[in-house]
Amino acid sequence: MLDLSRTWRPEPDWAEAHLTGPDITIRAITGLTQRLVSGDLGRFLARYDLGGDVGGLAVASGERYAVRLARDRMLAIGLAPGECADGWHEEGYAVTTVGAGQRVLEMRGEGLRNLLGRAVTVDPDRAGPSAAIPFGGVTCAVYFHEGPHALRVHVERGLAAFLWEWLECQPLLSEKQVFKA
Amino acid sequence: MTAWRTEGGSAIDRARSLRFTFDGRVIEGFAGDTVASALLAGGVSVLGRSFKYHRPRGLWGAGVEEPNALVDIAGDMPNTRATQALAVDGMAVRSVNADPSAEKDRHAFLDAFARFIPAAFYYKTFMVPDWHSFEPRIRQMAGLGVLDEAIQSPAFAEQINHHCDVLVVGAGPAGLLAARTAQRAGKRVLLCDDGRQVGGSLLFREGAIEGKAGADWAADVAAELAEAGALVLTGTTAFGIYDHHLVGLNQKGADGAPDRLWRVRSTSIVLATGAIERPLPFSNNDLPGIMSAEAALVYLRRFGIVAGRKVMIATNNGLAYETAQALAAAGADVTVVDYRADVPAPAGLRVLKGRTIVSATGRGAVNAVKLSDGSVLETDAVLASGGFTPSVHLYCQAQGKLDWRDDILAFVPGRPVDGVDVVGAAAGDFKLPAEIGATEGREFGIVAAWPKPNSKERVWIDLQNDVTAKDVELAVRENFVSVEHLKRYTTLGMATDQGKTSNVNGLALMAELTGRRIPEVGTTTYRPPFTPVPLASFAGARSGTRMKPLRRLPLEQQHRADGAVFRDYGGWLRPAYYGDGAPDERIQAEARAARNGVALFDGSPLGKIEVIGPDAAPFLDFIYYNTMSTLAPGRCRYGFILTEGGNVYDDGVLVRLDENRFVVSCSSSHVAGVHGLLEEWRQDRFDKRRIFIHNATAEMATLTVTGPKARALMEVLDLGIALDDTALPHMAVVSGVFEGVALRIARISFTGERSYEISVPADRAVALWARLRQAGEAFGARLLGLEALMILRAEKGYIVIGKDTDGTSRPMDFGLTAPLERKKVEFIGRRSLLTEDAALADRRQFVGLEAIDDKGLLPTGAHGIEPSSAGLRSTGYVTSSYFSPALQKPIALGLIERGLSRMGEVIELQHLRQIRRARIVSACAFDEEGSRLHA
Repeated sequence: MLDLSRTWRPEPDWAEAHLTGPDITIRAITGLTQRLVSGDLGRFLARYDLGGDVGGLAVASGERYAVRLARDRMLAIGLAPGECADGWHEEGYAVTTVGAGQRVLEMRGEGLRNLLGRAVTVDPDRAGPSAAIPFGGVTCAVYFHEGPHALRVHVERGLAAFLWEWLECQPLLSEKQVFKA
Repeated sequence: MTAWRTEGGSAIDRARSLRFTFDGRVIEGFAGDTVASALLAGGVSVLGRSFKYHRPRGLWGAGVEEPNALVDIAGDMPNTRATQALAVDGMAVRSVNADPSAEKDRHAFLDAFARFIPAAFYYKTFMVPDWHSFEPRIRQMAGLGVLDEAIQSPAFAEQINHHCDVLVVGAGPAGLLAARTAQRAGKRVLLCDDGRQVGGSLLFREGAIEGKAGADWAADVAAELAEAGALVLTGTTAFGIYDHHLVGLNQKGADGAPDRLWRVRSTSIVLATGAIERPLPFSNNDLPGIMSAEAALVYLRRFGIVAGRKVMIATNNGLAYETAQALAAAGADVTVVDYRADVPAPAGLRVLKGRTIVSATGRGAVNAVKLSDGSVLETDAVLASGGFTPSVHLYCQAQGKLDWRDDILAFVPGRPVDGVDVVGAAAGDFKLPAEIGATEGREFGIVAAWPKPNSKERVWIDLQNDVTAKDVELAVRENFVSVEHLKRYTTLGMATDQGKTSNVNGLALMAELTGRRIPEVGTTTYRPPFTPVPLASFAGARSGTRMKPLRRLPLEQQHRADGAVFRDYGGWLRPAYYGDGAPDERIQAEARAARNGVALFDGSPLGKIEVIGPDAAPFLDFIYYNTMSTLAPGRCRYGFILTEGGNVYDDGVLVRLDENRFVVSCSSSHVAGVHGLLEEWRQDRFDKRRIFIHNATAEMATLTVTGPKARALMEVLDLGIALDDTALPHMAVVSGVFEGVALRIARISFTGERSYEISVPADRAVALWARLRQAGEAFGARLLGLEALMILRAEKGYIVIGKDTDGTSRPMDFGLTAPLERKKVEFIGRRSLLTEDAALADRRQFVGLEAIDDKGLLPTGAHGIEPSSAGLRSTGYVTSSYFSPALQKPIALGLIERGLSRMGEVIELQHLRQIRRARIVSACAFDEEGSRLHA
């Protein structure tokens, strides 16, 4: 019987895995609590003191922040376990914990703009209000953290291996001189 | 053609010589030569054989328009244009469509039978006894280059998305001027050109701009653009304009590197794509040695090559004179045959005015031409200029409409297209930009020289697809008079050059034959790509396993360590079975373990879509065929989701966690579809503020414990729950804890055995699985793969969507009629279930099939058969078929006409001409009472 275990490489050891190019480094980060929130986002933001939410390729700051995904949906990062229950809230929003189902890749360096040119089709200068952006062909939450030199990409756990492979094969992450747009 | 190398040549470096082989013959050249220029200088006149008739063909052009000189380069792509491929030291080049060589081709005899194989002959021949008898051989003979299967390039084409204010396509004088103007206005500019160097016609035609030689001006502008931060891409073809003016560029890789694809989104686009010279029509105008006049000028000025010793330049316009004068100055004996009667003849040139070429002669290469005045002139090179066709492809792809200009005898862009400007020769303006003081001595002054009907010999219209004027006449005789029919019937313009040198001549002949003007005939639709683009460019990084990525399990490493054999199940990489040995034996053993002891199964891909909100319950009543609002918190219910057509779309269990929170546990391969369906109806029909859909499938791993010993194993785990059947009955769910982490335990079974589905956050799955494995040792717990699971559920008659259902299956086909009869509220598909089709008596119904002929398993897909007046008729088919370890015999499931009312009946089934016999039985072959669920 056909055995695809040989065709598909094992997932990397996420604790150790990293990619390094001339001006980009990439690794998986852990420890971010994530909650998917739908409904009255304003009330949720106020209730948990998150300030505003950030959109596509915008800059989030701090340990607690929110990333807008759709008109009535966002990802809330950094709430403590138990701080907010899953399910329906009478204030008008629904919450589901999703941190275990997402792999978060953090990309750092001067070459992020070049990487974005390979990974996303949106104009980095006009990315739009939603951070749900196809990145390397997979819809992810994509935003900057604490400035333009750290990009965070939240990818569905099951597709993280694919995205890692996609990143690995980009010439930007090899030692050779590459074209920079 | 007796071309020879002279001095000069701005593109080559004579200090660096090189050698390569062409059809085994050594060719010498210089760095900067193309394969075509090196072959030309090396005296190679036959570069290939024509597609259908295997006629010898020589070089026509110098760029993308080249129809003849296609070559296969060892270790590289097939069908490369020799005019665009750089010569590289040591390369091995072969002609295409020729065996053993272009010079001596064993299929050259086919030309003798040309009259029997005109255009579209294959529609009328090769029919007896059967077209398929001939098809393999014809396919073998068709086509040009051959794929080198030894090529296994690990590299892929990078893909870059780029945004700018102005995209300029074409870096000739008009394009350079447009780019500089935009750059100086502060715009973000991208300038691209398919040449290796910017400059376009300035690189080979004389002319001064802003007081400088054209080539110098071009270099200065390019430097200014680069200095100012504009992006200038050479070797880059803009191959298509797509929706919303997305432009695709293919950038040729340098030094063997793969190409690069650019997706450019620009506020405005300037098309400065130039124009392509047309051939002149005369008999035998395809002989080697007959070339484009402009191409000859390119070869002289860029590569230092004179096309011949005794050169004939035939022209119907003034632009060929520069070629004539340049070749004469280089030492060629030049005669100009000017189709125009009343033109001034430049001093020092022999010009025969008001005459045309009627035919060319030669064997393997042109050696003479016959003129309209009856004279015959010896020549070794005929350089033809039949006018220029603006390259309007991209403009037309952007939905532009063309106008015809009688003064230049060409189609040009007509009405403006928002955001797209066309400038220079592409707009029909063949002079240098006057607004920047450009000077040149050209006057166009064209006269018509279209192909005429009824020529005695063959006049070639489309060189690459071997289409002659006679083929166009044949199309008209057979009433294929629209331009689209002309194209498809004759294949005019359908080769890799897409009619760049042939379309207008073909249209002109069609116009004359049908009494219309050329614009009335019109053009066919312009579609991308402008020139062939490697598939690798479109694929980018999405090749191999990256083409269709599979989702990976949280426990993949553990399954690998346990020797799992993996397969693709619904887009997930999942264990089919575990361990070495014969697969059937392993799978049967796993299934037996689940029936006799306890088995562990990773069901993580199972859909877990949360529906949350105060209106979740009525919403789910609408979504499901079954009533779901009556489901109590902590309980589960199996149900169908239908399409609006009333067909079964998905099945699964709905879990109610609390008053306002449900989990739709749908098929693992259907999660995206079900999610989309839920979201669509939520937005369309319900108050969006009171229902929300969250796909939490990836969040939770689902680990299943199944078998008669399942409860005993669960008790050892100590998950903080009571396991008696009162606290946790079948189809109920409770919350538990594992190492401080909350989890859900549901008693849901897909095997028919007592089963516990434990849903835990995916990042805790490894720990829980290790605990299950450790605790399971005492019970002989075995790992269960998908293949064994499929057998177990089939023994119970549980369906798999898409395998035991097809696009027409309705709930009543599975005996589920109660909701339709009793459910009071509207639900998806309800009205379709009230149609006549849904009530037909002969619907295919889900049943079991028991083989009674001792021939082993019934083949999946075997059709039930019944004789009818029209022969055998299908009455349904086998959907699932396995050897049952519990029953020690084959079992099968199927969809059979009126199956539910034909229990016990014996039917015949046919598969690959073999007849089988089976009895219709209950779909549930094992434990029909379901007692093992509570064992």
